[in-house]
Amino acid sequence: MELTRNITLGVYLPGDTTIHRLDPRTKISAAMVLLALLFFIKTYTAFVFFAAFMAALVLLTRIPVKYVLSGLKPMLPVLLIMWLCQLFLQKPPGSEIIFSLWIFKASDAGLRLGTLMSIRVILLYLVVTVLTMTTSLVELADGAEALLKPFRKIGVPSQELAMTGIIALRFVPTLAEELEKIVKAQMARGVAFDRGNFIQRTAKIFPVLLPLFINAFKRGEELITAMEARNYTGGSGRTKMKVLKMCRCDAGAFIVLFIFAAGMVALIVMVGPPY
Amino acid sequence: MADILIEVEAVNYHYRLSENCCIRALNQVNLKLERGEFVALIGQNGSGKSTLARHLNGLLLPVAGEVKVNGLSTWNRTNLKAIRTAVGMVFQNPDNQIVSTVVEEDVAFGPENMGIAPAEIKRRVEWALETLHLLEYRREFTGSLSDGQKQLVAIAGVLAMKPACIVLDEPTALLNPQSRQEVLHVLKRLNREEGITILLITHFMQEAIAFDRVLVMADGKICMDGPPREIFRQPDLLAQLGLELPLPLLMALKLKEEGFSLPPDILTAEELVNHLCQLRSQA
Amino acid sequence: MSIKITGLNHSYKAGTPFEKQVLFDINLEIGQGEFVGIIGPSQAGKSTLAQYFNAIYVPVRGKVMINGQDTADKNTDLVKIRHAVGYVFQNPDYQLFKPTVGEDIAFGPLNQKCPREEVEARVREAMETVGLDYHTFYKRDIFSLSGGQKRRAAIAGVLACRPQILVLDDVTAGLDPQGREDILRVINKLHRDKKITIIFISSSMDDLARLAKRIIVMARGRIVMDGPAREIFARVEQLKALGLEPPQVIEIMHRLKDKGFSVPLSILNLEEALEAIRAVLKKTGVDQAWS
Repeated sequence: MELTRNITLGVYLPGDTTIHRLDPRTKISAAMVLLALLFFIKTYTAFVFFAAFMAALVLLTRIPVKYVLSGLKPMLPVLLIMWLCQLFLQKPPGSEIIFSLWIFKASDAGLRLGTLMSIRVILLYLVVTVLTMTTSLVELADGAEALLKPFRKIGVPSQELAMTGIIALRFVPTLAEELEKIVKAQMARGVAFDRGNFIQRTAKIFPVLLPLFINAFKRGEELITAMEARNYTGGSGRTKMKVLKMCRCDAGAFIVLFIFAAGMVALIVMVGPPY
Repeated sequence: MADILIEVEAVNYHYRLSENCCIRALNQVNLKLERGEFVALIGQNGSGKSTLARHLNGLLLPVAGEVKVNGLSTWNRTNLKAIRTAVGMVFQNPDNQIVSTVVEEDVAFGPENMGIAPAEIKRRVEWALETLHLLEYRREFTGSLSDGQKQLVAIAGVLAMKPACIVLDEPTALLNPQSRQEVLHVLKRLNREEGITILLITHFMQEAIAFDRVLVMADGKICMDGPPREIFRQPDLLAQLGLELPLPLLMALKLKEEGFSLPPDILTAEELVNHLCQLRSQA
Repeated sequence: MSIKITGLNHSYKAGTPFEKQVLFDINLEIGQGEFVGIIGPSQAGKSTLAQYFNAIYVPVRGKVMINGQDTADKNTDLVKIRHAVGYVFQNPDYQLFKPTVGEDIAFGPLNQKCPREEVEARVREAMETVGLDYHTFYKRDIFSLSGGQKRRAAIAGVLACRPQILVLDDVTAGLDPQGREDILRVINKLHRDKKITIIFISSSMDDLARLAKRIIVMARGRIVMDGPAREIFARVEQLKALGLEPPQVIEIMHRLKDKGFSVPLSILNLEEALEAIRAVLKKTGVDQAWS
């Protein structure tokens, strides 16, 4: 038994492509704009353009397409169920029944909405994946912190939030290792995690969860003391060793993004859905 | 004129467990540390070593008495930033001091907190990593370092703040023997080459004998204070305080009891062997 | 009750691109009543190997027989093996989780489905063995214990399962000299009085010198030395080459030998060392001033 086997959080694949070299602030803002657009797209045509844009981005990152799409595998069963639900349950006024299976009647609206929804989820996954595969966690935290900085004035603790994120990430392997040791220690006292009915197995989580939480709290306390000893007094007044600097490719990226977004908005407004 | 860096005057401290119960941790402690000293603090668990250490950078405030760093009192909150810059602290658990995912970013944490300009931070981080021979690990993921390396990164992080003194609270307790040696070598170098005052808290006698000055604590008081040779000339007192003697000294004392003429302050294996050789050649 | 391992190999993250082999062709037999010390530089594979002794790991390549039972056999009751082969980890905080000491020590026997009275009896016995006074500590909050007391409570928790073999994984690390003394005394008692087979993993040669009769040295996933303690400790050069510091007392003997003293290297403790030195000094006619 080896719990740390498959711990890979936010799989980052280092590279030197244009996308990799973009400032994280550019990438995060672009991702947010694209995600927002996705929620307003309701026609196949618009999706085709969006998908083409995403395809171009994926190719630019030079990450093997097969690897990118492999992340979709665990989602497929869920997607299928959602598609079937839409197909058989959506019956907005003006829709027609296209076929029926036993007692279930599929409408053309259901088919359309179901398919569009599935495409939306897949494209959502692609946007997030392109972001996380080309931006390291540290860059993401730095980018988020920088983007949230203007909001400090209204009380948003931008530095503290970003740092909390980084600390959590830095402890992931440490905690995974600790979890493994705790499980082994309790196994050594006869706790059989693979036996018993559902309720019994759920109860077995306490000998593992309690030490984990208690130790996590102790760690937190010690960490705070160490941080205080290094003069940490919160996010105000801090400088950063790595200063984020935008360059020409960021300007170029923003221009491309703007044109694409403008085009999408136009499409959405002009070519409305039938329902 | 001695250059006093840290001054502890008549400090009392107790931990309050409940309404009626408190544990006395420090009892009228007086201590003066000069710039450039290389000091070890030993004592049994519960003697007050860690408590005293945490008073030196204002993490704890005395219940009575005063602690001054560079003349600045820890009572005054506005002094704390300067005090914590002058007195850096390294703790026992290597993991629970590292905040960042990348080595050089963690070392930058201290200077960043001080609001130092980015270019200067970069210089200090490089200098600290180089001094500790960690430059090749600068972009490594902190989570995958060994415990010994993590402690060195912690020391680098403190070094980057350019402290006048580094206090280390049992930093080697959880390390394997090799890593322990590495840390001690580093501390000696920092003291001899960079002039940084070092205060090491330890319960390993072999570590204490390598220092210029040894403080022995028991029951919240400093009972003994002097060079290691002087301290270890009082084995009975040390035994009373629950402390072990270094093995070479123990052996020398036992042989002395049997009438062999050996000096009372043999601390290292080398000294023991040399003296035994002398005895043999005199015969 | 014995352990027999043949041809054992172990890899982390097997089958992934991050696969790393950590145990190479381990062959080992540990018999009833032995006191075996396992030592080696960090990452040598000591804990990984030890976790085959109580069937936390089950062999994929190789064979592990505990008390005649093949741990890889689907019919073997692994939980029973884990009760018979106790394992105490270095950090008691990974194990202690019940509110009071008494409850936590009772956890093991309760898992073994022991009747109430027997659980009580075992808890009492275990606490007595580790030197935690029943009346003082039974209802104590586990958070109020010192580091050394927690270690002893953890050992008691494993002892309450009445194991025949006890694996102790670096249990003296981080303790002050007094705490170390207490634990070593308890372990010695377990071996001497209760006749439990002890497997003691440590990075401290000095601890092993005091107690272990047989030493196994591991390095980079292999067993590189296996023999009586006296013999192994005397191999000073070999140990140093592996990055291990021999016991302090042996180091002194080694240096004396280098300077021409005819002292043996196969000694285990202070008394033997002093005797050897005394003998040499007397022989060379050194004066002894009797006061």
